[in-house]
Formats: sequence, structure tokens, C-alpha cells
Amino acid sequence: MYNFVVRQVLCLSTRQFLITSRTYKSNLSFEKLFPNCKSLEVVSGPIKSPTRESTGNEKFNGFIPTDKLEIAHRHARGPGGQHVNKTLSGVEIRFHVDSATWIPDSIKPRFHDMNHNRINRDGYFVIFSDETRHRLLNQGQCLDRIRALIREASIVPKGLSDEEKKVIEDRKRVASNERVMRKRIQSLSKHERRPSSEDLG
Amino acid sequence: MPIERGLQYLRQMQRVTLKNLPMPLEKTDKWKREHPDENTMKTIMSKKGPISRSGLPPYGIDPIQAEGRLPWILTVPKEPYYEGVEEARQYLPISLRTLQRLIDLRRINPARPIDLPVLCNTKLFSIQPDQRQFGLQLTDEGADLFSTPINLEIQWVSSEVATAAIERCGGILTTRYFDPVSLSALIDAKKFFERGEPIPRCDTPPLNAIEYYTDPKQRGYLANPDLIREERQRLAQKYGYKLPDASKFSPMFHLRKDPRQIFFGLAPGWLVNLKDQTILKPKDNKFETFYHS
Repeated sequence: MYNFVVRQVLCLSTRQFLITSRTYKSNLSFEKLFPNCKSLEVVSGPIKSPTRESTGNEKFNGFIPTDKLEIAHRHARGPGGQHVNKTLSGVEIRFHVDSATWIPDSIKPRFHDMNHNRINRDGYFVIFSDETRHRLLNQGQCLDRIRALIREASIVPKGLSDEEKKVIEDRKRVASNERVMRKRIQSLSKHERRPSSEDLG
Repeated sequence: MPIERGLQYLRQMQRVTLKNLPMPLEKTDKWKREHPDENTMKTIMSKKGPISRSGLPPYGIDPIQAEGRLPWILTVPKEPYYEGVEEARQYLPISLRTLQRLIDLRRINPARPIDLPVLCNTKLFSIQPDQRQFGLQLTDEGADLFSTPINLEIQWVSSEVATAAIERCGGILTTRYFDPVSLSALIDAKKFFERGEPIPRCDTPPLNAIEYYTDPKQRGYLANPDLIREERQRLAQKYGYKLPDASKFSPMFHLRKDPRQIFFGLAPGWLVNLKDQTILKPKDNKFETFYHS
């Protein structure tokens, strides 16, 4: 056992050395194809999309830290026989809303109001998905829904401007004036139907 | 004013006749004979037959030759269900489930990069380049079971779930194109070296495949590494996992083949002699320029 391990380790190190020492660069190598790229490594390098959660009262930047969510795999519902009974392809995600630092504080009361159905008495937001056969896809669907709900809560309705308010008031005034005129005309016509003192006299 | 215009004509034109002046069209008898109006057409044309009864064949077909029927080539319908099947590329499927199984049974070593010769040495796939087969494709069956980090090089990936399953475990995926000559060298590497041919230089993909292999979403080998990094981050956020740190990757995971290179550690143009355990490299200038272009 010891000899086998040593031999394997030696093979790996020499092969590693051989592979990394021989570098072949053709005309289509990455340095020539992408001379302006910031890093030729796929693994490490600068990324433009957000990699950290938004702190404090900034706008929600779309990043959800998966460490702070509680992800549980559960049984899925519906038809499917033995496969659905045995495999845990349903995904449930929970997180405590008030202590979540990645949701901006200005949105939280509105978020509470809009999603009071999904928030339980302890303050945990619960969401469950079992619509596909793959756990990965169900997890993706849960996260997609969370993101959409947060963005919905962050949209503040735009109030009416002064001009619009003035226009609405003018219209109301004009309409009420017309209504009053109509009523007066109607009452006059009804008054004229009655016998008046002029006819008798 | 028309008088002014008339005087201008008199000043500028060399000869003024009735035919020179821009007058409205004078419909002479000759002109009327050449351009009959609707009523004269009705008296000229027959009042019977397919013309008057709107029974002519479609535009572009000679009504006399058609004899009142559509030509045969238009009566037979076209059902192009298998159009382009002779030129289509085929890829044999390998699922994430079989990959995990092979790793568990220790038929594949996940510590080293996994590419086509490694998978063909398991003798589970028989790829035939003369049957328009261009390699292997990754399917997403077993995405929930997969749990080893690997450096995988495959020829085609169609589903996002498969790439997400590999990257979630801390692996790297690239899609690579091999032309049929290189493919026959990769499928059975030992047999190829015994044949005594120099290692071929891999061609660039055909026109209908370039869009695929330069796409960062498919992790193509000709795609910009900046964009591939963005896509990795995007998938990590979409499916809810965390990408590992760059320092945790072993040096084997940073290995990537040059677009002209087929084997790791060997360059095109070299001749491998298995019997004498030597490699012969070309020295001539023209071979050097060809194999390095």
C-alpha cells in the first residue's frame, strides 16, 4: 500500500512538471485572440456583475448570499410513483426577514405588507418549489421568485405631479357645475308642469 | 406663371416644337391602340374560358402548357423533415450520472483533466468519425447526484443545468471542437502513435459551429475569458451556489489546451516513437511556421 501510494505521487508530480513545462503557443493562442482581456484565467479575475451583497440603505443590486439562506430538500408533491416518493427534489428556502442584511431597510416594511402570506409568526419568509424534476432547477426557481418579490417591493409608486393634480381638480369642478345646471333645468321643467298662479289669474 | 415659363423655354431651348415641350400626354389613336382601357379589353377578350372565369394557374406558369392543371412539381407537397441530415454533426451522449459512476468506480481520475482520450479509453463509447460523429455531448441526467470537482473538456453541451451542476461542485467545463482527422487520432491514441504519423494540427470549426464555440454561455474554447467569468457568476447566482476561491484550485484545473493542440503536453507536428520512447520534432522552417500558425 505504501509503495503504491509513493509511486502514484511520483508519477503525478513528474507528469505535472512535464505538462506545465511544455507550452505550445500557436497563432490562435488566447494572448493573440484576446489581447485586451483583463485576465486569461477562467477561474480568477475581475468580474463586473455584483459579487457582494448591497450594504445598508443602497439599492438592491440583485446579489443573494446563499450562505444566509436555509435551504432544505423535501419530498415533492404530485404524480410520479416511486421516483417522486423516494427522491427529495422539492426545495424549501427560508430566511429571517428583519435580520437579513442584504435587503435594504427602506424596502422591508413594504416587503412585509406585500408578502404577509409567506411570512410566518416568527418572522421567517418561506418559499417552496417542486415544479420540475431536478433539484437545481427548483432551487433556481425559488431564488428567481425571491428576487422578483424584492424588486416588486422596491418599486415605489410615482405620485401625481402638481400639474396632474390641478387638471384633475379642474375636471371635477367642471363636472360638478354641469351636474348642478342639469339638475336646475330638470327641476325647472318639473316646476312648470305644476299649476301656477299666472294660469289661474 | 405659365407665360414666364414659356418665355424661359424660348430663351433656353435650342428648338421649340410641340414634341419638346412638357405638355400633358396627347392620347393619339396610336397610343390608344397600344394601351387599351378596361372597356375595350372587355370587348376584345373572350367572355368564356379560364381567363374570364379566374381559372388560370398561378403567376409565372405558362397557361397553355399548364392545360388548366398545376405542373407536377407543384402538385407534390414538400415535407422537409430530414433536410440537412447528411451534413448534420452527431455527438454521442454522456450523462453526468455515468461520469459520477466512472469516478466512483475509479475508472477515471478526477485529479487530472478529463478530455476525450481519457473518456474513450474507458471503452464505453465507440465514436466513428466517418459517420459524421464529432465527439461527445453532456446531458443533464444526474445533475443532482454529481458531486466531484473535475476539469472537463467535452464537444457539446446543450443544457444550462449540466454546466451548473459541474460548476457547483467546483469544476470547470470547456467545449472544444475536433475535426475528423484529429478525432481519429484522439479516439485510440495508442493505435495512432503506432501508425507513425505526426500529430495533426486541429482545424478551426466550420461556419455553422463558430457561433457556438465563441459563445461564453456554452463555455466555448474560443470565447473571451472575461465573459466566461461573468457567465459563471451569473449561473452561481441563478441556481444558488457559491463559486470556490481561485486559490483552492489545483494547478491541474488551470490547464487549458491551445486551440490548435490536441494532446496535453504534446504539440502538433511531433512524431511519437513508442518503441524507442522518443519524440521527433521537425526542424525545417516551413514545418515550424505551418504547425505554429
